[in-house]
Amino acid sequence: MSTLIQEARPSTPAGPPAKGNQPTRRRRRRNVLPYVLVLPALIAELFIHIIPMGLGIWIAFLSLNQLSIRNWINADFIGFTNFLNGLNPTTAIGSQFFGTLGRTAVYTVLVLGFSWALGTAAAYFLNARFRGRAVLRTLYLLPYALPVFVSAIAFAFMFNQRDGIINKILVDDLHLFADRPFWLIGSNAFVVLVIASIWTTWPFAFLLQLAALQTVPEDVYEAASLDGAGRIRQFFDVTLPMIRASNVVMLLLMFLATFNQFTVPFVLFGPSAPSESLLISPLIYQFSFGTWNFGLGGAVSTMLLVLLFVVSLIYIRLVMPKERIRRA
Amino acid sequence: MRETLSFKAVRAVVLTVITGIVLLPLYVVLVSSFKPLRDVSGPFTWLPETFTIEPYIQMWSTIPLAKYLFNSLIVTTLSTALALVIAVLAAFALARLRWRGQRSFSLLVLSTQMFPGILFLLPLYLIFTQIQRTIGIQLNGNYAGLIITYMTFSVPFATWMLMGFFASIPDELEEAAMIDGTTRLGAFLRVVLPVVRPGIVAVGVFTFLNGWGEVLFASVLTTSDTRTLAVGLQAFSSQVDVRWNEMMAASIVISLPVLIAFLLVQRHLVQGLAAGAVK
Amino acid sequence: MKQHRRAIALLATAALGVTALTSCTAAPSDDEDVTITWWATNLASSIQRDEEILTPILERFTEETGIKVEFEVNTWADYYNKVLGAVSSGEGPDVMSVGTTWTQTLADTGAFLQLDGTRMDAIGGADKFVPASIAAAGGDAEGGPSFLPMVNGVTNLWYNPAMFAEAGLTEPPADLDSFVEVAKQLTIDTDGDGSIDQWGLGYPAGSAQELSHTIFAFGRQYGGEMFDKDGEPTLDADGIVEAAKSLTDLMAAEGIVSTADVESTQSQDMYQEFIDGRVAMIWGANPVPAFRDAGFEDYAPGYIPVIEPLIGDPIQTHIAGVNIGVFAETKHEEAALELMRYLTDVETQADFWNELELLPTNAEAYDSGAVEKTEAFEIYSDILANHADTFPLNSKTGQAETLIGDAMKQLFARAALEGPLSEAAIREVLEQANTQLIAAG
Repeated sequence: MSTLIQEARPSTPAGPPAKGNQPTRRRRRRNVLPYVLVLPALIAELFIHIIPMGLGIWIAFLSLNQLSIRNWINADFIGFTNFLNGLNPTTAIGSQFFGTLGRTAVYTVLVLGFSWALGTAAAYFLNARFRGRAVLRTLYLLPYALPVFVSAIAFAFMFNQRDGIINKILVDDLHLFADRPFWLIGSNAFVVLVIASIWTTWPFAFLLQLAALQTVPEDVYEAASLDGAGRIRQFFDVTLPMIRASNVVMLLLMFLATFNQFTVPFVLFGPSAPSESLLISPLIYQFSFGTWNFGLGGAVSTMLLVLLFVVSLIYIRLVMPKERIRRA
Repeated sequence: MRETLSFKAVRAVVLTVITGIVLLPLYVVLVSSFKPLRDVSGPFTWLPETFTIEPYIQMWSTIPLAKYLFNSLIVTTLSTALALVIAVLAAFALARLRWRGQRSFSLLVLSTQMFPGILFLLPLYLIFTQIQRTIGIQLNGNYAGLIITYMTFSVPFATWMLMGFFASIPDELEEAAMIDGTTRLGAFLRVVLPVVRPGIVAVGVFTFLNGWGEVLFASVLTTSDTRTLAVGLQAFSSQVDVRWNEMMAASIVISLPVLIAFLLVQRHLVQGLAAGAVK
Repeated sequence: MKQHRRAIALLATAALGVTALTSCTAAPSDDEDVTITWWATNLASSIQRDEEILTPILERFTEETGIKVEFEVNTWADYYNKVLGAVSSGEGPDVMSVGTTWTQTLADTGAFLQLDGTRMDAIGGADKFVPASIAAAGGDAEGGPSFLPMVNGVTNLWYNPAMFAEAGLTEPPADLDSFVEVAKQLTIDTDGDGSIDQWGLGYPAGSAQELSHTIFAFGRQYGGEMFDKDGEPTLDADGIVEAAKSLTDLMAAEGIVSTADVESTQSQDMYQEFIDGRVAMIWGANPVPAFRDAGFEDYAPGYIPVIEPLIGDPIQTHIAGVNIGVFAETKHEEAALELMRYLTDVETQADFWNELELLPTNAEAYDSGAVEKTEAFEIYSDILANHADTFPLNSKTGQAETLIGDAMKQLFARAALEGPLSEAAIREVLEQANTQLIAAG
């Protein structure tokens, strides 16, 4: 792990300025100051996040079920057995893991892509001054204000086979299908899951994009437009590079959150999702809480952690150095 | 820059489509809240066949909605305020200072976002219990535990996001201020912070809504006295019936404070960097 | 390994900023003014209503014994994780309500006091209970049960007499084949628009929990058990496969259940369908309060059909309800046992029936004048005595409930999309569930 961090060292976005342009007399103070500043975050993270995560990883090596949960500290240490069970594609448990992982990756790409595009388009267009933009800005944030629990119920209503608004429009009004299709079971369930997730996720991209666009000074546009650049070229050549710093972080964080999505499928489908739309977090829930196999749940989570860590490091390496070069 | 006619047309089309996508589910929620229960569970109609405001009256007594609303406001407001302070300080240290352990710290914080949230549930309860047993501070079941939890859950995200925002502000800005003899931190707080105000507002909104809609941890870490809204809404589904219409009515009512807050802060979302603040 | 564990334990403790020695146990408080806590669960039409019902009952307890009770009504949706939190941390209330199907799994955790001879005597002795009720709470466990039955419930048939009269029928038949025929006569297009709008039977085929309970009962009719004599999982037993075939066929082959029902994820959905007049019959556990809330009166109770010829046992339902246990970490064992006694005494049990229409578990209550002997009471108690059985009491019951419920949900979804399923297809899905159960914790 430490080598991974070492490797990542030159690539952190907020790296120090390359030139030694800091006054030397400040060096000593700076040595204490950063630690003081991060201390509150460190304490909070340590107790609420890091230690529980450590316990979650430790659990992965235990045989932890209803017989040992009460006295978990003395549960049998079984090494990598849980990992092997989770990974062995020939078993009932292992066969689910890889399929679910792949499905989750597809889901993440779709949700992330559409959310980003929608959020960026909306933020870009609402950044200009015109009547009604304050109303729209507020309206677009509303899906985000509704508890996800309620949004997911609304989607379950809408896509209900017999009574939902979607089939009413598609079948009764537009006559696109002879029979009312099912949306919440079978392979269509995945489509609904993606749509509902985008609906609850994109306002977030919109919110951050709107904030990011404010860091683009208007005179940059003016300069660009004098050069005769069109709107579209300007967006890609000027706007996007200017908000790149916050976008790379936003995409990374949204990627991680989407990959671990739990609430939307859980409310949409209940504790047991149709196998065609099972994501990794609900699968882990099923292992841990549905079948009381906490060790297995911990093992799958740990593998997920390692996987996402590697992906994140690659991403940071690939995307963030350029950022630093631009600034330096 | 001048807006051409074609630009305005594209904008109108895109915004209309997005507005439609946003409105449809919201409309379903809204119209369901004005229907009697039997119509909610029946075939969808664009307008209520029987219009009723009964759900808006009944919902207050089906569950202690007012109490839940109060609990949610306390928990989310305090956790948001705390998370912002903590994250701003940490993000400053990460984005602007050079220190040993910097990368390890930022990656450690980021790694918490890679572990499925559900797996934190039992360990967290366990740790709260240990803290209570050893130093006597109760965290299970009261506001404090939930505030700390939500605060912490938002800090990694907020820190990283703010780091991104800070990184897009040139160092020269605060260096100019430091020439006047202000400290690095002072210059940062006085000069950089106002510039990234939209980012801070955005991150604040994120943090607030994180706690506002959270169900899993709230269900385990609260008692009937400290239960929050998102959990409380589930109580419209009882062993006997599911009062969908009241649940929808309640969702609308509880979204009103958020809506008002949005209207108030949205201005700040687009008022950060006045043109020419950065040269 | 021991070394390892201690290191981790030490680390965990050290990280919490404490020394291992300071773990203190609070001194037991003196007898005066004891307050105990109870996690109750939602049983009425709202948690507010639950509180209204429980408050006077517990005030009477405080008057009688001087023990105060702080209770909290939990919705089922959140409750399971909360109980798990308490079990794994040792931090919880003195008395806890739990669902009957969790009983064995939770008993296995050892987090609840075993009610051995002396403790059982404090409660009033095992004889005070209906034998089937206490057995369903694990009454035969070695060293005494960890739970007591607080209230029981059964699932039975409800039909709409007006619809029956319209179709020229009197009452639902007792055997499955005739039931299907009757249900077919009730499956009609009332408004002549070409689509069926009244179905013979409404069934929440999207609820894994309901499905697990139904497959348990019908599996028994076909001679299938979820665990064999040695307690090994047999979710793919022949009887269960046949029962699953016959249940999914109600929708896919016989057409008496709407395919739309696969999107119904809770039994309350079906109560509403029944109230709305879209189904002529449902199988439900005490939907009467829902009917009453809706001002609906066209209902009558009956019995869930049984296959003929019967292969296994004439089981129509599992014994549902709520069990109560004393959390092992309690510092007020005596007071907690007092509450357990009180909640299962005749007077309290009569209140539970009169207010919530949930069956008493106290044997004497059945003869008590305090219990309002309605038609529903007679039918429920007959079913409990003659047509119900305990959901298997196995360490893996909780897991089995989840896995077989999920499997059935999957099968019904396929039946809705693809039509009647082959036995081979059903067996494959159940086999997979069984393999997972074997591998489960």
